[in-house]
Amino acid sequence: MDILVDKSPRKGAKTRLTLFLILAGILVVLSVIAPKLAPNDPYEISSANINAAPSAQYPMGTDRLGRCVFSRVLMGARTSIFSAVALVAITFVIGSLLGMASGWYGGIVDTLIMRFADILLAFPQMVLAIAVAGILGGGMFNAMLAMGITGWTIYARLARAQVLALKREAFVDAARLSGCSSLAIMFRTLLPNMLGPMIVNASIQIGSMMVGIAGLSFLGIGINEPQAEWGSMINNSRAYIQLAPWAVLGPAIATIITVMIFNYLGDCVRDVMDVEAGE
Amino acid sequence: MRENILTVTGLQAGYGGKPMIDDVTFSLGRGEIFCIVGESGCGKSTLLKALLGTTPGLRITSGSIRLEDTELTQLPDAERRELCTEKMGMVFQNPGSSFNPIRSYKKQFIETLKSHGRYDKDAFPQQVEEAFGKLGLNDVKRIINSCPYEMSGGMNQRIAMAIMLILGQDILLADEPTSALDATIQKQMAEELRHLRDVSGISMIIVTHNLALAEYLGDRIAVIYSGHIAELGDASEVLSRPVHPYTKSLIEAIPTLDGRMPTGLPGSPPMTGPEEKGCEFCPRCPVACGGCSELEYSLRDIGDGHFVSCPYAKGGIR
Amino acid sequence: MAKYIGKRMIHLVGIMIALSFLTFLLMYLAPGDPAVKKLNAQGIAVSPEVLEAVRKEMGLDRPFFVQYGDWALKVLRGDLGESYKDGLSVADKLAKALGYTAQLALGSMLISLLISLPLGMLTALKKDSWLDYVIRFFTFFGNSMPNFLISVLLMYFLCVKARLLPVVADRSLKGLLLPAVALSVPMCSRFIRQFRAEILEQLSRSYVSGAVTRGVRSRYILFRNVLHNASISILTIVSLTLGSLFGGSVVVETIFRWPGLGKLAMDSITYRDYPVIQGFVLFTAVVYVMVNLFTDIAYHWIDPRVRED
Repeated sequence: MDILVDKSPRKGAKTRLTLFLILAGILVVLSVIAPKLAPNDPYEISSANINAAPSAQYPMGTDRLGRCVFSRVLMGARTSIFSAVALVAITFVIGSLLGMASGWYGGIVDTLIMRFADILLAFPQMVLAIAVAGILGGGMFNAMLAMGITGWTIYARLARAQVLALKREAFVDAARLSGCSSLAIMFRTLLPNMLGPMIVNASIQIGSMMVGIAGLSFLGIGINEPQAEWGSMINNSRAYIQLAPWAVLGPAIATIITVMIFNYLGDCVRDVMDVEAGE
Repeated sequence: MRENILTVTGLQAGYGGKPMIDDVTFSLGRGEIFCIVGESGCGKSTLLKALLGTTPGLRITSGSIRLEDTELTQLPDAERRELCTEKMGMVFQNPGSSFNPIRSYKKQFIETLKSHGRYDKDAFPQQVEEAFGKLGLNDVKRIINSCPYEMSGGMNQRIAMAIMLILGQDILLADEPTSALDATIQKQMAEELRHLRDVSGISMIIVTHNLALAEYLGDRIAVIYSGHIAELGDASEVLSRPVHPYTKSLIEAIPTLDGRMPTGLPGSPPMTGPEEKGCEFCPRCPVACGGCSELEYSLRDIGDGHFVSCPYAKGGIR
Repeated sequence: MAKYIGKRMIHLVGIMIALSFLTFLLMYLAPGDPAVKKLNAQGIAVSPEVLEAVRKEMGLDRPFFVQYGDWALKVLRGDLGESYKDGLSVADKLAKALGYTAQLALGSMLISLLISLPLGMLTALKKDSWLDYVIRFFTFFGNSMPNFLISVLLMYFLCVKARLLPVVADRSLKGLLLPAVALSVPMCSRFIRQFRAEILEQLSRSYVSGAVTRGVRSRYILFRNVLHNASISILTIVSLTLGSLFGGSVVVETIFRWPGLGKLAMDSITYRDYPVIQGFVLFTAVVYVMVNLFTDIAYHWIDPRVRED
């Protein structure tokens, strides 16, 4: 048994990042043009075609209400990708701003914001999300709110740590001495310098936010019928899984592929940043 | 006639087929301290690792290493590793780091002895006591039961030597043993290494970039440049009457306390390892001439066990 | 050490107060009148007179902080109120569900550790071999599968197609198996990756090459040193996961109808049974915080370097 390991970093991080950026790009494009691609109306109920097997007209068959599963999966991509990316973007912005303010001003601002984050993190994330979404009732906005309530804390902590570290750097002093205002320093000097590690985290978060929202929808306290969403599609079709397994497997495979691509993308971003930091 | 414990002949070794050292030939006498000096990247650490043979990826591509009567390069990897770790011990540059910082020395000593099939529960305390005594360490019980993170760097290094004494190893390999220590402790460390040799008769190969340390400790010395031995011989002879232009530049580059600025060496050493043809020092050499880039490398005896690779130095081609 | 624990305990009291306040606030801000919800949950027709009486009875006419203080004092005595639905004590309901959740949490943790410890070590030692790539691909796959998906697929293939297990779990060991496996798939995937990374990190430390140089057997290096040092972060990972598992895994428990905390919470959400939801949130948060605390203390105990601070 050879116990000493080769410490050289993984090669080809950039190539893989490009590959997964392209794949994620394809998914985003697909979701944008979904209405054009859908062979049937995803919302049209047809009592004549309930739980029909896949055919030329319905590539993935139909569900319990006779709707085209393939069209709904395509439209669902829109819902899933849009909600996850939007959620990450919103929590990223809010979290970064709060974290920067916390690190820059310190004192009471810092204490208030960071203690609040600590307390939110004392709850298991899904428990809080389920309680919030459950109390507010379903809907895309409420589901995003439920996930976002704890989501911002990661960025706030990171941004704060970055600001604290950067504050000691000479270039910040230089900016201050040359008469820049706090806000100007924060946005022109600090922000560009701290984006790297924060983007790594944001890219890793997309996949897990997607899973979280799909989970809430699956439980019936997220995005609800008739809107096409993979989690709720799986939930509503699972009672008929013996009759129409395609109605479950279609959105299931779509979820796995999409989450995998976004997770891989996050990993690649991290690898590339690691390699660059190493150099 | 002195007895050689280790004989290295024409050794070439490197990573992934790219040699880092080439045509290295020297011998180590029993009880001798042999110093290897050179700038960082010259291949001196690679040489040490090649001798020990535990570094993954480092391959010996030609040449021979004889340890007493055994030809190491002929042995299968596992057997060679077993023999080498049995006979040779290593002191690292970063002294605390060769032991697990959060397990007691005692546990780690026992593991080492057990691995060599040499652990005797009853004899162990006595062995430790004896080894620590030779190194001038008191308070054996407290030290052996503490963890490496609790100890200073110098102490860790002495404890690393203690395990060598208990194993009764013949050769101590040291990679920059003093450079991670405070200036005040460096001297003490050097004295201890010499003391250890005197009391135990262990042979040592010490790699360093510190010429003063080499002069203090070394019986013999080898100067390495870009994976080739440039000059080899008796330590005081080589350092007081250097013949290779590189050795001369190295000595002139030592800062002194009399306010004179040292003459630095122009340029920087090549990091590409030994060349197929031509002297690698040529671009920085003050006496180089057109022929230097065409010469085959060879080490020339200029008498009294003093060897030099430069053909233009002392008694060579004029 | 004692000082450290003391400090953490004081910190804990602060966190608990904040947690309870936030939980109370969450319910206070919930849309709708609690009295109406209670009446609806009990199926009583809402008339102005009844509503007035119920509001008074529930103390809803008092100021916010009085309501909070009253509630908090009751919580301290272990009284989490009564369920709107059946009038049973919330604390009793939670305690009963906790037993099932604990079975599920410990069962799935056991499965996950039995699989991921050896595989994590193996993939670290065989880094960049085909075995490493295959296992890592599967972990990535498992990591990208939402819990509900695994549960539905397991149920479809094992219960419906292969008919190996009953669709609705009974409360036996056999019934526990499927939800535990469903929980373990993503857990294993995460653990294997994390353990692999940690063991690789330890293997790259200089004490390993030092031991190799001394001729120490690989077996000793791996099991007595690398694993010992890695156990610090492995313990952290495991207990943090356990902490959130004790919050019940709502999805898996709901799908397999396993009567744990998660299922209780989901049922209460369906019935708008607010005291139970409130109790659930507070209870899981307290468990989560306590587990974190024990982890920190254990961490200080294993690593002698931290112990001395």
